Amino acid sequence: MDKKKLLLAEDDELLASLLTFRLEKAGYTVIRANDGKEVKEKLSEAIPDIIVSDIMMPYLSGLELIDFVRNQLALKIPIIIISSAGNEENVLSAFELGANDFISKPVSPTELLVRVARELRKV
Amino acid sequence: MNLLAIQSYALLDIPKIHTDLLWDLTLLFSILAVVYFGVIFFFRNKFTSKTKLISERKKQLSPMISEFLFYDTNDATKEDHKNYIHLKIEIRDLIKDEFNHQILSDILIDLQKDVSGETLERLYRLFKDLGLHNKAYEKLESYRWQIVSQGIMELTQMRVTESYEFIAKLINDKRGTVRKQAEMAAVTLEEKGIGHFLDTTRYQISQWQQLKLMDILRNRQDFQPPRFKRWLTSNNKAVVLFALRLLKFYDQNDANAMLIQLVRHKNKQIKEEAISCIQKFGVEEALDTLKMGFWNSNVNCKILILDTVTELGSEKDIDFLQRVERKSFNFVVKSKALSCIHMLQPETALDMEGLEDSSVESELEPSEPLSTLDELNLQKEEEHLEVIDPDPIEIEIQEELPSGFNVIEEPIVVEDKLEPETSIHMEDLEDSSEQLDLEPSETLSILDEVHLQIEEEHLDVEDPDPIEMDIQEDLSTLMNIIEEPILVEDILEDIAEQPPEPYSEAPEFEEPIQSNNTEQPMKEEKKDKPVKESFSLSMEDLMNLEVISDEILYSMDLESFDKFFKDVPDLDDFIEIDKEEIILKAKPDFNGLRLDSDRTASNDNFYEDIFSKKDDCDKNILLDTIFDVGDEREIPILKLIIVNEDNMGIRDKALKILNGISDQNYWYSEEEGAVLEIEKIRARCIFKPLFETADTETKLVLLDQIGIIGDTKELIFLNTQLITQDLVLKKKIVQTITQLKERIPITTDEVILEDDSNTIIYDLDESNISSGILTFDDEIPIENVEKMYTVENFYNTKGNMPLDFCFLLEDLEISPSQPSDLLEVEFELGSIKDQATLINIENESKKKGGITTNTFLDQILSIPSILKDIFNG
Repeated sequence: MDKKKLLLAEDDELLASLLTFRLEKAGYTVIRANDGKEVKEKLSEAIPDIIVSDIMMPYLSGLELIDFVRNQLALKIPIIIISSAGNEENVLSAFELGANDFISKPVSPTELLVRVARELRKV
Repeated sequence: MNLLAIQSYALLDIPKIHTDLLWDLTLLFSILAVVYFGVIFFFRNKFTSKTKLISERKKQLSPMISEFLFYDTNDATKEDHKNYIHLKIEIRDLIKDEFNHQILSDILIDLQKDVSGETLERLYRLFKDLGLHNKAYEKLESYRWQIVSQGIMELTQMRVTESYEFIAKLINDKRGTVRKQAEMAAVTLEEKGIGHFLDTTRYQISQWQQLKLMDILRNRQDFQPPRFKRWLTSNNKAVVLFALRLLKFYDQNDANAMLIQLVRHKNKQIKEEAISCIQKFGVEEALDTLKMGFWNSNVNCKILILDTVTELGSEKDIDFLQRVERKSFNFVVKSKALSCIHMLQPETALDMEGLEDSSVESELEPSEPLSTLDELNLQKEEEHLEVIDPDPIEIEIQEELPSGFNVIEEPIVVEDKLEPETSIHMEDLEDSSEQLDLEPSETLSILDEVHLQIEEEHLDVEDPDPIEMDIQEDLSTLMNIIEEPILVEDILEDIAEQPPEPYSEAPEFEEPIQSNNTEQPMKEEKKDKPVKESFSLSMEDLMNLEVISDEILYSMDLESFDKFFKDVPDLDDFIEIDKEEIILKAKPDFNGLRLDSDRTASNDNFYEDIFSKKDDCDKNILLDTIFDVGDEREIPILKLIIVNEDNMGIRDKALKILNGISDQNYWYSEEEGAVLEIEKIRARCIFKPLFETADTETKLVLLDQIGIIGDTKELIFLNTQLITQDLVLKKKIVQTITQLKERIPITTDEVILEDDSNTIIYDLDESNISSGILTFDDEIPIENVEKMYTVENFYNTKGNMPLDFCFLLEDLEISPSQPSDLLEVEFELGSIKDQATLINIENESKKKGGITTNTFLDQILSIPSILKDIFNG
């Protein structure tokens, strides 16, 4: 069975490393991108099965990434947004733009796994 | 000559600098620049490399941490377990290095912010497993507050609960940052921490700290808050305040009795918080205490109390609210009280102020307001204001008309004669008459005679309660009314029958009904004093009082308010707290000035009606209040007080306040019984014109005469002359003032001297004279003065003249010519011998080659004169 490819866009290296380790341990192939530019590069190289992106990133914010994926690339892959707690306005905007789910910081890796699995099941 | 030329050339030459010195300096600065840039590059590279190293080490360590965090013994295979043990050994070796230890600690502390759930718990365990907390413990022992604080923070963030005992000791640390960090740590680490903190803290808890602590408690899972009423009796006010807030936050309503007690707390914040708790928990038993404490509270507290009374009270509290509305002179409090009344009793009478009667609007000019009318109308209005009776007062007017008019003896009730639809506000009377287009000269005089005089005077549309009156709009009907006597007795009876005040008011609140005035024909009254004028004056002044109370006071900040309220003991005295019942004192209160009942009082009667009825204490307080918040609009009242007051102390105080708030300086003349402007008194002094033009000798003679025949005018005038620079003259003036003081009674100790630009307050007390401007004790014999003032010594009397010439000028009615500087020569007289001596000294110094001037600039400046001297030989 092919491993699902997951694009993790997170500028915090420690958190990204932790989540990458946990997701890989859960059986996903994780493609890491530290900023918006890198996300675009990775997307141009290969289309992942799901995107997990922080909402605040250098060069390209999570909202812009959703807009890019949905409107320019016209992809319908699930997008899960990681947002800091209380950033309700951004979360709502993200949903309006086409995000599938969101998870708030501090992130529970276990919860993230559940949400990723759920979104992938929907596809 | 050569020597001088050489000297001047030498001064103009550029100094020679050795080339070697320049090279040495170049080398020195080059070395310094290299060292400077070298140090910069060194440290920059050091920091960069350190950052890079940290980053690399983090990258190296983070997978290991992830491995530790997500290692599950249940799912792990033998291989995984073996790797785990190897990893553990490796990481323990790594953290033996101080640097790695710090990096690992930082990684875990950073990660705990980003992760939650089970991972977070594992992270805490890992921190302790690796022994990273031991380093944090060591930091607690540091003498540097920032290190201690960092240690506390690390232990707190990583939930090292074992550190609680160590950290709790720092709750009363003298270093603020350590203390605050310890407080938060204690509350975070242990559930009992908040209790321990509230028990032990001896310091203030800032608002921000309280918020932080509450946030920690709020986010604490499974937190069972203690009963915070335990700390309501703490000696630390900050603890009491915080406990009240926690009480409110956790809805602990088991401390009602203590809350009621705390309403009487001296600390305003505690008081406000207690009231807030009472409001939230609905402690109805506290209402009486709140009402009793109302008058001692500041504005914020008052608003809170009114809110609480509205929330918890019933209709029986309306009396209290009405009293608040009447007695308070703070607009916000009054307004709040009104709103509370309407909240408790929505159907109560609405204050119709500001509402227009649309039924008559089309016919009448909207705001040609209630004009003078007469004292009858004023009284009616006062009564109306006082009783707040919503019903219009119906007026019957009776008046004896002059014999020239066809008078119908039978009194006619105006209301009966008028059409129902013609009922309008009395303030609109003038407008209706204007529409009638009467002949001004004749008709107005008629109107005057029947007290339905049409006023040109503008009455403020905001005048609280418009008095309604029925009027016939038709001219013929009006003329009938004019010709008929109108009874005022019934009106007065109506007024007297108005419902009394629900509380026993101070006597001055009850305006006496002056029926005797109404018995006088209006025409006569108008002869004595034009109604328009008298009304205008009184209303203006009383509106000014209103301005003081409502605008100036309202514009004061809270501290000023508090201070102001402190200065007003009567507010506290309005009620006497006698266990259960509130007794209103029937004590005269100067605040009556600000009450509606007094607003329409005539300014001329102010002293008799209001001020004279007060005791000295109240008078003083009133004067203090005028001094604090009054302005030039209080001048007429102050003059009245000064003229009518028998108590010299109060009169003097009023005079001082008058001088303080007025641009002019005033003097009370006992002989005339009037307050006079000092300028005018000074102008009355017959010595003034002579004194201004006289020479010093003449002035001394004049002063002798002033001492013998002078009075208050001269005393004031002399006080203005004390600013003279002539010491002998000044001494003589002081002697004359003393002489005058002995002869004439002085009503005040203070005389205000007005200079051209400055106002000097000069105390006439001997002690002040001796300690102040003048220190002469002995009189100067006039013989000595005469000797001193010979013609040669009168160098400073330019433009002045002897006494005979002064009178001559006065007889000829011409003013003295202004002193001219035209013939003044700018040199000093000296003997030829002195000049020769000076020249000799100069020549000697030149011969010595020295220059009399010392500085370099002086030398340069002296060159032209030296050259000039040389050329001139």
